[in-house]
Amino acid sequence: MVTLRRTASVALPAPREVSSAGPLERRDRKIFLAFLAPGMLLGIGALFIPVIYAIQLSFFHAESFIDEPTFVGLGNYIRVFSEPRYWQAFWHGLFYAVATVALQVVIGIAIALLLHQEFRGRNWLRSAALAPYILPTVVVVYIWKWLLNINYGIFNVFLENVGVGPIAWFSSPVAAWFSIIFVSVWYWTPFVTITFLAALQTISDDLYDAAAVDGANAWKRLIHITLPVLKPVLIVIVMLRTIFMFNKFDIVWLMTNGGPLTTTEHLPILAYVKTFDMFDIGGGTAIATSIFVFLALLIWIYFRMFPLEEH
Amino acid sequence: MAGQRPSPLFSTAMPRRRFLHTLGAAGGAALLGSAGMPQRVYARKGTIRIFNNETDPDTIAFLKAMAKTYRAETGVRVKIETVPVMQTVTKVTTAIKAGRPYDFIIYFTNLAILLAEQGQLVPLTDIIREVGEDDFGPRALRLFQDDYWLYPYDYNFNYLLYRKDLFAEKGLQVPNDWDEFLEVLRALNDPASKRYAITLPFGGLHTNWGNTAFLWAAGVQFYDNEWNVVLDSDDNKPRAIRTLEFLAEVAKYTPPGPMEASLKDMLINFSSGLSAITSYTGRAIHTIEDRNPELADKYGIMSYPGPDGGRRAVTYGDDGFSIGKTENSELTVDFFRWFLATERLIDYQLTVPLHYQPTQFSTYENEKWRSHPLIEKHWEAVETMRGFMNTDTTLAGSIDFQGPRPSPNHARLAIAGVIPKMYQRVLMKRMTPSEAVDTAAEEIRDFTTRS
Repeated sequence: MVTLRRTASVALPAPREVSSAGPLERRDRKIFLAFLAPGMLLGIGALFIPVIYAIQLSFFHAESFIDEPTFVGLGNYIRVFSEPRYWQAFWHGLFYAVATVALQVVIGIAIALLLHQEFRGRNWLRSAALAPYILPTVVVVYIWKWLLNINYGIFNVFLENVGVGPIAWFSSPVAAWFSIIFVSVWYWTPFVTITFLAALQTISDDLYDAAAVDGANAWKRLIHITLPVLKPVLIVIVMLRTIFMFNKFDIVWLMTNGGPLTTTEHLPILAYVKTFDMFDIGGGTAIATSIFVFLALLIWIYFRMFPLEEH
Repeated sequence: MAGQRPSPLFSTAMPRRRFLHTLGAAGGAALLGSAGMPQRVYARKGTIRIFNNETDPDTIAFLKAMAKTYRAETGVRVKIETVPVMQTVTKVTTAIKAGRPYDFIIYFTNLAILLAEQGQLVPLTDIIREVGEDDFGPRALRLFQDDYWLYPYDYNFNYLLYRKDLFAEKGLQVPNDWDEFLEVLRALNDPASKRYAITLPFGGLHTNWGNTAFLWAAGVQFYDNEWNVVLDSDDNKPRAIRTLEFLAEVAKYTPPGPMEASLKDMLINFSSGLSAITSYTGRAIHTIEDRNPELADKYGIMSYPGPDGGRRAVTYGDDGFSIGKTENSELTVDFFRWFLATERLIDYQLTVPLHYQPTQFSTYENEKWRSHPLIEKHWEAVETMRGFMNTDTTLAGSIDFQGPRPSPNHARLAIAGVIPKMYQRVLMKRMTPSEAVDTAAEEIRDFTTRS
């Protein structure tokens, strides 16, 4: 009896203890919060507060950061939305995002499919394909500006030697856009490649073998096996890249400053120019807020159109 | 007495009276000594934060060495933050907003006026008057609200450097007017041999300094004395149009892509022989010395000719020092007095001696300054630079001199890039010169009215 009672008391926890334990015990909850707190504080301090502050500033008129701001309500929004320059910058941003994301995805998938094949030196090539992505933006831009320089850039030396003549890559709108898009695609495609490559590696070879036995050729295997598996990744990649490219400031700013004139100026650059170059803090932050709202709306529509499946 | 218990304090057998005498003497000596002796190491506490937008390595090295010396002498720490010139406005104003304003600022006039207007600076009037206002060259000092807010150390005149050997080879003279200037350009330009006549910037904010002297030489004005925009007035517009037409012609003799010409291109194109003329300061002479010393005796300096001859022009782009209104203001004023009294200003200017053109006449007579090897070697150029301080022959024009007095409008006019955009609209054939002038005038009106 005694032995039995002892065994039972050790082996079975008291029913009361089981029922009181929720998803997180009180002690665990403290540890959980302790781990969460640094990240949350950082998020609030570095993201939430600046965003709120920027939105707040967009309702005020201020000539500089040291000026005393005056409340103008929606005045800044009405003013910037009525400026043709705002809408020009908006369409520039949309064009830049669509062009670069489309090229990054198409080229990225193509390279990923290539790197997914078995061949000698594949691992080396996979590492090399990542190279642009690990370079700092400023280094990438200055390397390309040097390569594209009108007087001593290697591209123009080559073009002159083949009789095409030097091209002023940053002096005409078409050439400037070509340069920006080219460098942006060169720089960011590896990110797309590596993501798709990871997704490709999750597809079981059995699926391809079974399809091959059923008579599916390479094209059909791509259409009916590979691309459906890549679809969730594609949805996320397109969304993420669109957000990044629409907001991309550094490459455009470092390459052209939005010029010549304002022909490569998109909304992030216009927001910067208004805020820091034209001392229009309210106008600049109103533009920045409008970008935030536009992208939030875009994401909402996008996920309504292409919902991610749970599995 | 025999039964008196000795105090533990005097257990070394020193009598109490003798100890007190010794203590009193030591205390008195220390007090007198501290009054009569120079300040000891770490006598003062505090940190002075310096904002510096002069990015030359020699200047930065000098500032760091100076900071060490000052700390050793006074105990005050001097911390230097160097930021590229184009980031000056952003960095200085956001530092103020963040509650950490700079104590000592090395930058330019138009931002100084902006900060002074906001009550962010300490006036330097007393210090400048002690030095003597007469010692400063024309237009170097600028009163705003009856005070000086910037101590200028460098005129930063933008002028033209040209290849004397090529001029001699082609039988060319320094041009006196715009027609002669274009003739010189035609004679020097040889694109087939990759030799171009001139490098001038037509895009980017550096154009405000690097290519505006023809506007000043033509007498173009942007504001009248009431802050009305007069760029498109009946008087000014023809002058502005003529300048734009002339510059469009000049752009034909530049290396390809004049709108891409950076400050670096202006230096490299000239020192490498790609172009026979460039606009810059004495920095170009340093570049020649570093990269192509063979050209060191083959260059000349000239100001920009006027459209029909007469008074010539250079572009003024001063650099100077200001003291921020911070909790360290007094400490910083002391530091600045020390900087001037110990000839650190001369040492500072000698870090890039031909680039930092002194604004004070006395500097040109200063033995230490004159005996620098590069100053001695390029004395002819230095004399020419000094000649630009003569207002009878040379107009030192600038965005900063538009309107009746120093104003934040100058910073807006510069940073909004109105002038480079006006040039680009013409060069890209998007507008006629007349339309470009009208558009620029409207842009200026927009931010002037808003302010």
